[in-house]
Amino acid sequence: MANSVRIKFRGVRAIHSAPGHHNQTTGGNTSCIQIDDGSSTIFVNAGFGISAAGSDIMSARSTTGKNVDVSILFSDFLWDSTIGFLSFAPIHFKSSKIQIVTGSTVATAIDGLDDAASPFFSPFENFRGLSAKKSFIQIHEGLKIGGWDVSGLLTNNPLTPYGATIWRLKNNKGDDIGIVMLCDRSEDTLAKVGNFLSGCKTLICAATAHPEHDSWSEHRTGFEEALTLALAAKTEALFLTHFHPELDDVILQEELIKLKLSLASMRKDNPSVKLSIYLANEIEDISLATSTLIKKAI
Amino acid sequence: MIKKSHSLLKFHGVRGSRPVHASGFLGYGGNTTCLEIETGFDFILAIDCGTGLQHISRRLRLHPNRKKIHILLTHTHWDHVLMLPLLKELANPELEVSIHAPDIGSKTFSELFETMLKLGRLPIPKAQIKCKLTFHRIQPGQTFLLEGKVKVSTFQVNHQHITLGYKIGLQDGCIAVITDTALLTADNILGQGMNERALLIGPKNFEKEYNQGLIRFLKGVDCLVFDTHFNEDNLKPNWGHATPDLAINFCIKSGIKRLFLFHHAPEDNDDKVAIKQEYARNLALHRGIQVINAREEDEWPILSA
Repeated sequence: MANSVRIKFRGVRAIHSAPGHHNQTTGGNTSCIQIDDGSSTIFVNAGFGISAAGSDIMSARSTTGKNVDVSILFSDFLWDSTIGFLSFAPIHFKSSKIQIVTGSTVATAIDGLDDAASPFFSPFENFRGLSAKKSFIQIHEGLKIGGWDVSGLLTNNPLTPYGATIWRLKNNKGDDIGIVMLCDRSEDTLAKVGNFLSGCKTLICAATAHPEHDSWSEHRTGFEEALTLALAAKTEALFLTHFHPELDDVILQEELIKLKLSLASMRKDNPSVKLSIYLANEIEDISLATSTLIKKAI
Repeated sequence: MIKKSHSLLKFHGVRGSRPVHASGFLGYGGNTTCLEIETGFDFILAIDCGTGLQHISRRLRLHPNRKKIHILLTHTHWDHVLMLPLLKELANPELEVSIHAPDIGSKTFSELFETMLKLGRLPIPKAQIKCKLTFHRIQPGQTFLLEGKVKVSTFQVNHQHITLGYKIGLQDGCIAVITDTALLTADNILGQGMNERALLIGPKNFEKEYNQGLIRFLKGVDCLVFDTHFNEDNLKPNWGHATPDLAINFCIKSGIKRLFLFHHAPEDNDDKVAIKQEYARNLALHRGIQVINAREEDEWPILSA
């Protein structure tokens, strides 16, 4: 039976949105990844990319009549990971069930989302007052969501006092996805994360930091760190995402070429390295049947 | 006679509510609210700090001789302030940034900005603000001069909290910017303090006072940037946004000859925004009002040729 897991990059930008022609190929919404396996829908982060997902889900609901039931895994509660939920249509319907999953405490999650829905900055009173039925889970040992076994590793990160969670999703069909959206690039943290992700077949990793374009590179992974993690985990497919808003389509393609050259050079010494590298983008999905990007039917 | 205009209106972000990037939305642009008025003087004058502010940030890097920015904030909803703490140039010690904003409830904008920095939610390292950052508390109904040269007047419009409309008098013309407002009726009063006033003088009297006040405020304006988030079919009055019909109504009553449709809904793709313009142009037909859709990175003289 064909693998039905589809991963959509609803938003590929870190820090702030970057809409415009210069990002036409890659995308300009803040981060959100949607993972569908036919029986469950999981999001990672709720940047502005989640808005379009909400519209699609509500359109589908009008056809199927099924109430919305989704989980959102948060890597962190910085604003580029949270503010989009205000425009996620299902959250404004009482019939929707939304499970918030965090590596940090439930109180931290509620505070983080309440801050984003502050009455000073939004037309709402707080997150808790939004209509959907909301539940909160702090991940410890592991969690079952649909057909997925979900585990999380909470890491220290000076950007956020509440830490940043690295996610791993496995199912009984052999799919194994690691997701790194915010990760300090200290050797110690990278080693822990590499160990946690060891053996994952597909790695989705932030490539935010950039020596020329990012004056905020500290405490984030860039292209090189993403490759380091992929090699440490012995992954087969690396999808780069969570790009700095100033890295436009042209710069990103250049960085991808540099990284592929670097990988080719490594292969001379170690031909057993089997890794494909892709730039995630908001136009194409990943099919886990082939671990490649496929064009969306528009 | 054609009068030469030096003052320019620049649109850096024209979306309301949230930024949007998708095919079909690139024509008008997906950044949230930010405008710039080129005054002819040596300072940058910006209105609001939605994600469109990144265009000003880029220009500041290209033209490092610009050392002074005045920012007029209409209100503090995300689509109007989110980029402010992320403005890289706040770390430039040679830059002077003056922010003019109304109080929100019991808080000044300076206090709110401090809160934004302290919450630990910014996706950047702790902001290193090295520029000379000053905050100016402003109120509805106030008139003040920027650098002693540019006259700014304010009017509280019908939107949550205190939301200000601005009228800016320049050497060669006058522009008004009303980014977020709804039709005020006796049963749709949204702004902070407005209900108290309505209770005091009666809702119907307040409706009349407000609408006549706004018409007076807009008299003498050469061009108007106005909220047209909705159309008459999808209007949700208590969301605090307007339609082309309301915008044109104020143009007619205040004698304004040029209207920019602004605060495009993030759900409206280029085709829908273009249809809105066509609809508004039909409404304005034979009224002598030029109607133009605000489009990201377009520049317009304040006075039409």
